[in-house]
Amino acid sequence: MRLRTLQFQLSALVLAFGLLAIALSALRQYRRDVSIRLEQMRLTAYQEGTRMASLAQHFFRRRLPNSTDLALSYVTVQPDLRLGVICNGDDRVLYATQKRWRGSLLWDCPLAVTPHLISDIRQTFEGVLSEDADKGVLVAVFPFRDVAGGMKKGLVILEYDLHSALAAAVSKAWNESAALGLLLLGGCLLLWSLLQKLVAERVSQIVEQTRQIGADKEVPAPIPGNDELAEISRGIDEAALRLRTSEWRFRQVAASMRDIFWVAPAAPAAPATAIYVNEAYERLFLKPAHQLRLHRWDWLRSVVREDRRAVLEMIRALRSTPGELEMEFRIQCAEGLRWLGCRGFSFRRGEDDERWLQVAGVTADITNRKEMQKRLLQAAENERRRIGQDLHDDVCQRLAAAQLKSGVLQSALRREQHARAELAGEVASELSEATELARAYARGMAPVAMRAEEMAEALDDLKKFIERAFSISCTVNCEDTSDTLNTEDAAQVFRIAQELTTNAAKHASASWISVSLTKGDDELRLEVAHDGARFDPSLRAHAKGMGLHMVRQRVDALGGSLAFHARHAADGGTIAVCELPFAHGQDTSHHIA
Amino acid sequence: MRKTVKIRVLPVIVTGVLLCVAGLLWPSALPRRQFTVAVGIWPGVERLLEVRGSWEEGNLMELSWSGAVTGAFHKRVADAAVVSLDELLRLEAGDAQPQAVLVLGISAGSDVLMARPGIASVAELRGRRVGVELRSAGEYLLTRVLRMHGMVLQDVEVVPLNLAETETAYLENDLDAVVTADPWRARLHDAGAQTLADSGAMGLEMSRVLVVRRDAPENHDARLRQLLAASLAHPGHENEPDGNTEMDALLRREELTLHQWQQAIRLVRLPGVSENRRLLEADGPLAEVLKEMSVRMLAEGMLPRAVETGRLLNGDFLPPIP
Repeated sequence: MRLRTLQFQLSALVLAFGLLAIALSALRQYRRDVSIRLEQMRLTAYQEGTRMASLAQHFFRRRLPNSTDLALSYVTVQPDLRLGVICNGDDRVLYATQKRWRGSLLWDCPLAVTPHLISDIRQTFEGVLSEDADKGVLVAVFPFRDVAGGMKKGLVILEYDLHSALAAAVSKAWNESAALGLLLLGGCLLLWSLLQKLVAERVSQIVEQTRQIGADKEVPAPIPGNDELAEISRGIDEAALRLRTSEWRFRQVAASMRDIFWVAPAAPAAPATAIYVNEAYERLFLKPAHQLRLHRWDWLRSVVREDRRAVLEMIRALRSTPGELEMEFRIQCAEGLRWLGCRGFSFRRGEDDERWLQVAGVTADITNRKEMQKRLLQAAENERRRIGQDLHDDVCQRLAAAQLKSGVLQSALRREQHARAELAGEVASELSEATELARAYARGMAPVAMRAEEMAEALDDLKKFIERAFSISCTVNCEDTSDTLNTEDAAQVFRIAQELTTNAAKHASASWISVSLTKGDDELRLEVAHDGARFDPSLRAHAKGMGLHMVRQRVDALGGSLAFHARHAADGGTIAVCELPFAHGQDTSHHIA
Repeated sequence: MRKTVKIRVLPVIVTGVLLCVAGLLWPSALPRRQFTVAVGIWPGVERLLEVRGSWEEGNLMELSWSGAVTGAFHKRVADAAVVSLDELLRLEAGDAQPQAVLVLGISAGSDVLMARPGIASVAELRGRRVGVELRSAGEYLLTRVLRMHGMVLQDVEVVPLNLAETETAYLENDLDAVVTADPWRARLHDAGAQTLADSGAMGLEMSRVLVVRRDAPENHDARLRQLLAASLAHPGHENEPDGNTEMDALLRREELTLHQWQQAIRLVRLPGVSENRRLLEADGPLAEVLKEMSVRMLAEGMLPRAVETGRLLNGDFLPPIP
């Protein structure tokens, strides 16, 4: 039995009020009965006292002792009488309802009278009714004249028991209270049963009706009747119908979407609530959507391990703060690796619910776009390399030849003491500088122009450029990566190193920069460290510069990851770490596939 | 996990209906009254009166004559009464439903027919004025004594009076003889009255018994048992000295001197528990006496109808034999 139900509370309330009413009624009844009984007792005492005083005076005058005794015997039958005596003017008891007191002195009898009271009565010759609440007695004392005894004043004294009157009133009050209490208790049980039938059971049906709404189950029919509960039930049924219609439309829209539309459970730890996804989920993840009802994080298993942390952080951020966030991550499905772009948003469920944010979002397949970006990067890099090679193989050669010929020309003119010999020397010098410049351009366009084996040389050029252009100490540590990088990927790695190093030199105010390319068991690891200002990528998320954006595109194209960490050293600084899995570095076509 | 107790509706409805019915049929409060015992004056009932101090549960109503006692019982003013066997039969004939639960005393000369000096025999009472309380033990004694001497009630002039009046009526020289009992017998004896006949030869016929109604409320049972146990445990004041408080009260109640009391109590036999059990047996001596008395009283016109005496004795309320 649940104590907080309206059914129980109403019944208990009626019972409590009923018991209170019965208690008050019993109290009033008791007081009324006591009052009536006392009034009756006073009346009886007065009647019997005056009657016995008159009879005693008459019988004493006529000297009829038996008659007095017989008259007093009739008084004996009164149930509340304790003791009745008739005494003469000398306080000697002549007759008594308990005959053992005959012949005793009045003061020896167990009567609640005092000499003062007796004296007053004899003096005033008026009867008195005296109540002693402490002793619980009512005493009636009535005088008479003992004509035969020298006109002395005799007394009729009747003592009544008040306790019996009170006990009778209590008994009656209890008795009637018990009857009313039984009636009330029975009535309350019937009321409880009535509420059970008319309210509790029907409310349970309504609750069941509401629980079935939105549970992909048939909503029970509204309860019959024309009372308020039936009206509520019909209202719920109509609302459920409207909700079903609205939900059907939503499902139609969601089903027609190519992107995944998902809605996270209302509360993170809410039991038995699953994430909602439309049909696109099964197409992209190649997993049944209903499995999410049993394992709500089933989708996360498909996310590439390196991206899971970022995905979870995004969801956590949306849970904590209403707003919008975007990210790209990869999933590994039966068809291979897929790139997904997710736009998540969160909002408050209502004004009353401050605790949880509703999180939802749209996730689209961006694998093709990513492939296109990579091809664009590769095409651009190929074009650079072609231009660089042209510069190196053609322009630089021609300039070198022109420089050589200018030198020969200067020597010939000098031998001839020609005035223009110096001019020819200047032309040769200009051509020499132009040749160096063209070679530098060629190396910039194609730093790893021919083979991956030239990575170390390219990085060394980068080091020299940094030291020359920015006057910053730069160190390079490059392991042999020729067996793990093809030409295209080597160019991408160099560009990443170049951008990170140049950014550090330009913006970090560093005194030194360190570039390290090492080879692990499963990956290549590129680290660019410096002692300059610390770099927080989240603060530059909306920066307009293209450099970091391009770096990320290149890292994504290689299937790697990029992270910035603060250096735990006294001189501060940042370490940019780029990890490139071998699977992607060894075979780009495989990675793209 | 919250646990709830499922309550079935039907038992609750049934319980509710039963409670309502019980409330509607609940008996009204009857006027509360003490268990009241009407007693007359006779030495044999003194041991009953002496329990007054220890018996809190009841009220002993002292009346001065037999008619008042039987009337109080018959009119239900008293729940119990001390009556003689002939009065027991009269109450049964009057549908008062009495049953004797205790034999208080057996009169062995305490009930007497007394006459003035000069009247030496019962036969001399023919045509004389004899004072007697009618419808009481006195009438039965007179009838029995007259019958023993070949006379009937109509052979004497019966003067009806109350038992308490017999002494004064005799002393006023208004009567030739009176039928009386102790304590008036003792005082009349000292006043010179001659005993013509007494109950000494009547066996159990002049016994006094405590009667209660057969339809008495059950809640009186405990009080009755308490009364019987206390009464039978009392010694009976047969040989107590003068000056004793209880004895003084007894003498005041009986209005006797100690000597008179000692004389009077010798004329009464007070049966104990074991004798009471024997007497109150369904086929015991008292039952036999009641049968004979009922036949006799019916023949003498003292009973309006024949009575069934088998249900007039009940020894169930007696305490166990010590």
